[in-house]
Amino acid sequence: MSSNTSENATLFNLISYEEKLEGEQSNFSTLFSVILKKFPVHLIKITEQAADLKNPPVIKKDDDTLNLELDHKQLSLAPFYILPSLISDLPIYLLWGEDPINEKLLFPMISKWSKRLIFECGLPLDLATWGSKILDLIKTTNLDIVDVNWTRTVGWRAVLAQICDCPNRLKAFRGCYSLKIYYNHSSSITNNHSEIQALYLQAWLSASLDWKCKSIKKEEGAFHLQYQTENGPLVVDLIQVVERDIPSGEILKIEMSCPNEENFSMKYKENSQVIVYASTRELCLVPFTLPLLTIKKEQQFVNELFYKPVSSHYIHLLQWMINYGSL
Amino acid sequence: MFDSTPFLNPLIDTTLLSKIPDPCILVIFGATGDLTARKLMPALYNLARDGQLPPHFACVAFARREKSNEVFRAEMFEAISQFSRSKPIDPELWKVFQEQIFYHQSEFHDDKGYKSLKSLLEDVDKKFDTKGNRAFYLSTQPSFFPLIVQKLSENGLIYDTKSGSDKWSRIIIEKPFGHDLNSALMLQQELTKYLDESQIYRIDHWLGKETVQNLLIFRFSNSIFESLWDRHHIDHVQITVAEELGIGTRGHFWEEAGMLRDIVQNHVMQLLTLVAMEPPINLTSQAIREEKVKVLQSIRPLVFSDTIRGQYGKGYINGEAVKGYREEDNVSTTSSIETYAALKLYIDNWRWWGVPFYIRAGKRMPKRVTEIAITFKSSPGYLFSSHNRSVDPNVLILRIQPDEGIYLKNNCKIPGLSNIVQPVKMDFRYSSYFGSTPPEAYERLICDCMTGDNTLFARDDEVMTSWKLLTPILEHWNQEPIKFPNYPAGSWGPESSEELFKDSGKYWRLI
Repeated sequence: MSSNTSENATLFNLISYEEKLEGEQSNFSTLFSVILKKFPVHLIKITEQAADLKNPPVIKKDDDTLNLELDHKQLSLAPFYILPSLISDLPIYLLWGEDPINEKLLFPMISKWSKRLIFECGLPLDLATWGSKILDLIKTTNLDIVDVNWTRTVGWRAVLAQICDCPNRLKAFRGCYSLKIYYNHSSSITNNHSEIQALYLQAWLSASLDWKCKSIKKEEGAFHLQYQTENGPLVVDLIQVVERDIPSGEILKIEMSCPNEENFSMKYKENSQVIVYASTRELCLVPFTLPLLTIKKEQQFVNELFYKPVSSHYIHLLQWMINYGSL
Repeated sequence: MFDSTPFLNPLIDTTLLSKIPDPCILVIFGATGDLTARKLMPALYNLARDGQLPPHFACVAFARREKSNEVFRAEMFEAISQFSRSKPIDPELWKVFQEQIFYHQSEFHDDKGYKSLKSLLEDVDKKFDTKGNRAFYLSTQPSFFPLIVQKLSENGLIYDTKSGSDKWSRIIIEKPFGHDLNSALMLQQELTKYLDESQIYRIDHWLGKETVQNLLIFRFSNSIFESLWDRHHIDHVQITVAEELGIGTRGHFWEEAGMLRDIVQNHVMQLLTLVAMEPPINLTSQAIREEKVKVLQSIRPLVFSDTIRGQYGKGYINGEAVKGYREEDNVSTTSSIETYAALKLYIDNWRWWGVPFYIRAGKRMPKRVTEIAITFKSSPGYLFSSHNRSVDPNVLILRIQPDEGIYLKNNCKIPGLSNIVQPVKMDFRYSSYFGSTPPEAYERLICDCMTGDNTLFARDDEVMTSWKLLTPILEHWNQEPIKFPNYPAGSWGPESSEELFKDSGKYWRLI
């Protein structure tokens, strides 16, 4: 954690909130560590304990950090600890390790002071309603909303955008008839809903390429989605694999089969790269490598979280959820 | 029939923080020189490392010495290991990156060499899908620029911008752009026989520095300063570019150049225009460069008595004895070349009328520092006259290097029973807030050239106008030599430089 020594200054107030869970380190706690490493912040950390403590809130304070451990009933006290601690004239950012829509006690209070909400949560049960509420939050508040799961897909989105670099490729992508996305799955309690990035990615493709979703089916270890494209039906499969050294949820491979035997295979390589194989009926391109922005590229990744406005592509993703989340 | 409709990729997110440059091949002429090893190749490596290189990219080194691809790649590995801002080199990244580097041997005048270059580029295009886009970086002596451009054009390596093709070709040239007005005009004439101005990218690498880019952001996003930024509130401006180092091994070069040509005509004039310009109508390169040129055009012709030159003699730098300029290698013992230049100039427009700008640039100064100091007019001193002789004026310092940041000197009451006033400093330092190593200037500039953004490159009229201003001074100095050396190394320049402040009550800042 960066410390506010005479050499460091404070860029912003960061209020983080998370429910305390036992188990291995989650993606959120890894993200938290990276953020603190990259930015000098004044940190207010709120941890909600799972059980009622029946004790006063636990408060630990030093120059840079205020640590609050509260049970659910004590959350309403949090603003009274937070307010005196804030550094004036600096932005206030929220780093939320839970679903901001469902947290009704703390979030409505402190979101009013904040400029930006960065949240990471699992896949909601009711995608359509959730998507609608997030969209509402974007439209009705002054908050810049950053969905970390969406940001985690930025690397793969950039890769696909770079491959689709001419009208012919765009036509091929639009007419795709088979899309397979392989993602990493870990069964730890903190890593459920590992399909979320894969789901987001295919939803983004569908919104950008005018694919119309007809059905969504979930089975053990896989999602199957049926789309209609300008060329005909498209089957999208989201497939679990297990890779122990890679964070759960990370996308490992994408395979696209397009009309006229045009095929693309994009495979994750070590050190944040993707190797791309592209072929048509007539020829096979020499495989080429593209960089992949992941959390390993710490500064770039946190810049995406903290400095990027809400993009129209994310709005399209939310629209996809609203339109098809009930299927 | 060629379809000139631009391709709109629905998968591209326009809110992306970084631009993704077009696929292209960067050809570096003179690639076995110092600049490639120290700056260009490390810049490309770091762009690759940060995912900022275009997805389809290759680099071809064009130079006179015989070498294979493998030998050149190994040399570049050593250079990047030594000069890259990020270390150590990522072996996995290097494995991929080096495959994108090629070496092509030829003399600059050899037509066969250009034909084989064309063939190589076509092969590389196919292999890396670089779409025929070309950037040619001329890291050579300026005397070779016209020849190289001519040969590139004659061999079909430069595209006509009027052809409507979706391929582009661009030339990047380093300063100096000529050595006086006539030579700059001739160079421009030679280049524009084969190139459109839009294809010419004149690098002044200072424009790629974060702190220089911050000048515009600072001025135009902080309304309190912009409302004070004029002749009603500012007393004078000092721009200092000081180097501890001498000329090193660059005696040959320096004997032809001097401080006015090497630093003042380009770097200092860029700083001056950014400090003095009007707000642009938008942030396009055309709008910004338009305002910069207007500043240069508004500068009153220089009076010789408002210029000072100097040459360092022996002295001490950080306690160590150093030799004088005339004792350096490859320097004439009777050289009249200046290693120090100072000017007082005025910008004749509504904003700056009557505000003197003091500029000094020198080698073998006590420390390395580049800063812009804006001294505001003093407050009426009668309130505190019984306690102090005078109250210091406020000074806003924009520190370009080192210890990059912005400082404001203001006055404060000393705690206690009296009203004694003490100057103090409020400061913002880049390193304290943004700790991480920012991109090097060349990374930004190469990336901008590949994206087609010429905001941070000098326009032809910028260059000509600054030469027009300074060429009479160069001619006068050439015709009227003075006694050199006239300042010891390790001092702030010749004593005569104080004459610029004669009777004004002002003086050079002691930094």
